[in-house]
Amino acid sequence: MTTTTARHEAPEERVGSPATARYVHDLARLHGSLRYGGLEDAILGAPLARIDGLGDGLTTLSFWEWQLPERYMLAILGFRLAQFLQTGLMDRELAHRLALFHEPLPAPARGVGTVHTVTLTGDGRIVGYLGLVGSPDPEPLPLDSPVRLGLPVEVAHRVDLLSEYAAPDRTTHNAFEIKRFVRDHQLPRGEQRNRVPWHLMLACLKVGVALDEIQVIVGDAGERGALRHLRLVGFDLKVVEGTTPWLPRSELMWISYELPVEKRAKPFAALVPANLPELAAMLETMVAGGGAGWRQAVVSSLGGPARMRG
Amino acid sequence: MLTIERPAELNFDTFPPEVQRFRDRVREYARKVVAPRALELDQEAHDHFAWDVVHQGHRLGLTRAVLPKEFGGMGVGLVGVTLAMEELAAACPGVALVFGATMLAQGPILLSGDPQLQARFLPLFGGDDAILACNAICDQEAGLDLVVPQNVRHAYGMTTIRRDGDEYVLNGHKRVITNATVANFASVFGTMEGVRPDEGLTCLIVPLDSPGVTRGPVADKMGYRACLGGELLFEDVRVPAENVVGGEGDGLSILVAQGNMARPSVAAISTGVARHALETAIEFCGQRVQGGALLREHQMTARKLAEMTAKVDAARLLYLRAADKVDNSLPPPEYEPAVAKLFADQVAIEVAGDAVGLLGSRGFIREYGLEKVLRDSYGARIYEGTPEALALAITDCLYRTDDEEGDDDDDR
Repeated sequence: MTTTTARHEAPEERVGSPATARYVHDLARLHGSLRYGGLEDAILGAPLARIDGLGDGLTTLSFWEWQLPERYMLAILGFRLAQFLQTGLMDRELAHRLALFHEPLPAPARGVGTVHTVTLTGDGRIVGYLGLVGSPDPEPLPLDSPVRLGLPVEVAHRVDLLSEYAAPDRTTHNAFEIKRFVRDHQLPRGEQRNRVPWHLMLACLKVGVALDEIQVIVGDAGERGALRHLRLVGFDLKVVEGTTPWLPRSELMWISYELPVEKRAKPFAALVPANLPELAAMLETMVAGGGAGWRQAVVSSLGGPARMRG
Repeated sequence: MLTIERPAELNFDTFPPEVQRFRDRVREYARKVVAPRALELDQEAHDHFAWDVVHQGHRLGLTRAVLPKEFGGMGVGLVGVTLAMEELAAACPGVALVFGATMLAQGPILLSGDPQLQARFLPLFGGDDAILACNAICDQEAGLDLVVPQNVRHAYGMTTIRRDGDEYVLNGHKRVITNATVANFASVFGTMEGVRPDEGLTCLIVPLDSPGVTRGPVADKMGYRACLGGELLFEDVRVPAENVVGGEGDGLSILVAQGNMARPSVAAISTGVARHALETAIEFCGQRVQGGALLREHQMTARKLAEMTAKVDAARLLYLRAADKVDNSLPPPEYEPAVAKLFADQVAIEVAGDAVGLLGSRGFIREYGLEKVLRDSYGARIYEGTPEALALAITDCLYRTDDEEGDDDDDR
């Protein structure tokens, strides 16, 4: 997972040609202008998680990829592209050259599939996203199987994150990667903006509660981004230092691994905490609390146990 | 001489399932949403616009019907679009044209084959809220000159375009542009400064919130009042160079191809107008008793109804043939769309007039709705090629030699 809350400024040399800069600007404007108020009604069946009515005007929905019609899938992929191009964590020149207006559609899932989580404003604007990508193995394999297919983060960092969690009742279909944790770059500073990552995190916990097959999570993230959020909500993360991630230059995200070491995402893995339902309920109560002090409450209430574990 | 071949495998009784489903959904929308509002929209102020009606049509895919599926489009081809246009126009051609004008403006972007231009504008139509576009051809002075390719060189007083670094600078005054008041962007045709229009005609995609764009007054039209025909003023509007469609001077070929793509849809709108009039007349003549017999049993009336229905059927077959040809030919054909439009536009006027005659005073009184149909029937006679312009295009095809066809291909 390359995690961003869209604060990172891309190095100047990566802004690209004036035409590319205009392209990125136009895509951001285009996707920022689109509204998807009908997304929830378009979900086939019930969403895996739904967060609403917290008084912040945000609605967060989690669903399997197969539950969403393609037009809305394109909307999500468009949002992701526009956001990551703005942060400079995707190759702007490549996106421009390929005339992308959304991230490429994923190939039909061979394995477990992907759970998408989106946060929407009241008028249907997508302002946050988080993905949980399942194993590409068509059939479940032991986590230490030499023939299992790597999750994207393992491929990029050339690291095995799952073997040490091998257990008789645990397979590759129990491991999920958190990807593309992102908040809308254009969302004005304020309460709503502050709450988007917590909406996403809460939905992520609720998905974990709803899908007990999720036992291990992996990803890659920055210390100030999702690593912090995940630790706060109770994940005992094992962070692998010193990897040399690499993606071919045909991949949009290759550029994110060329950042200075201190800004680079670190791979991590963790078992899903056994008390996930309690953690989710606690987080929901605090986020629902509103008022000026809710963030501090989240940090102090969840941070205490996290510090004790640490 | 033009050889008109008998098309193989044409079957206009059944359509691919996705086309059938699209038509059925549009038909339901036309009957349940548009038709009950048609008279009200006609009698509103000339600048009133029913966004609520448009939003509902957008949700069915009417603003992206012509777009490929990768842009969230419906993938129903022009055959699907024309069937939808007939359904809409049978309820209200003004509403049909709101969507038709948007598709018209999408045409140059699709025809450009420029994936970056497409990526920057076509996904706009994939959201849940309606986005509209407009096609800005007619200038204050240059009108029909831009519709008849051989006359383009005579066009004068046109919108001008000047290259300035990475931008183009646009100046001009467009008039009677459907959706000008409500569109997000316009496909604007102008000529490069100092270049004869037939060599300098150029198409730019212009976001209408660009500095220097002013939306002018809305025309108070005789018909099609549910859509707004407005003016656009461009004063030193700066447009990124990458917004050019094709390249400088490619406007004429874009314009011709766009017109050929659009005419089957306009023919379908005219067919829908005629169908509305016909259905009204059939209902009335099947109930109204005069001289001791139903009107339909009077031979003069029966003859009139029979001719009206034959005309509507023929108009439909012609637009479907043209749409099918456009879907399967590159570049789009010139002959079939022009013939379809010429015929259907005339049928709309004739059938609407006959229906008004059959209904007597009910045809003349506004509240019965047929008076609106009669006014609307004259609309397509004007836009996207008058009969006079179409006649030139058709006759040109009749006398075109095989060599000239080949030359055209070479040029392309």
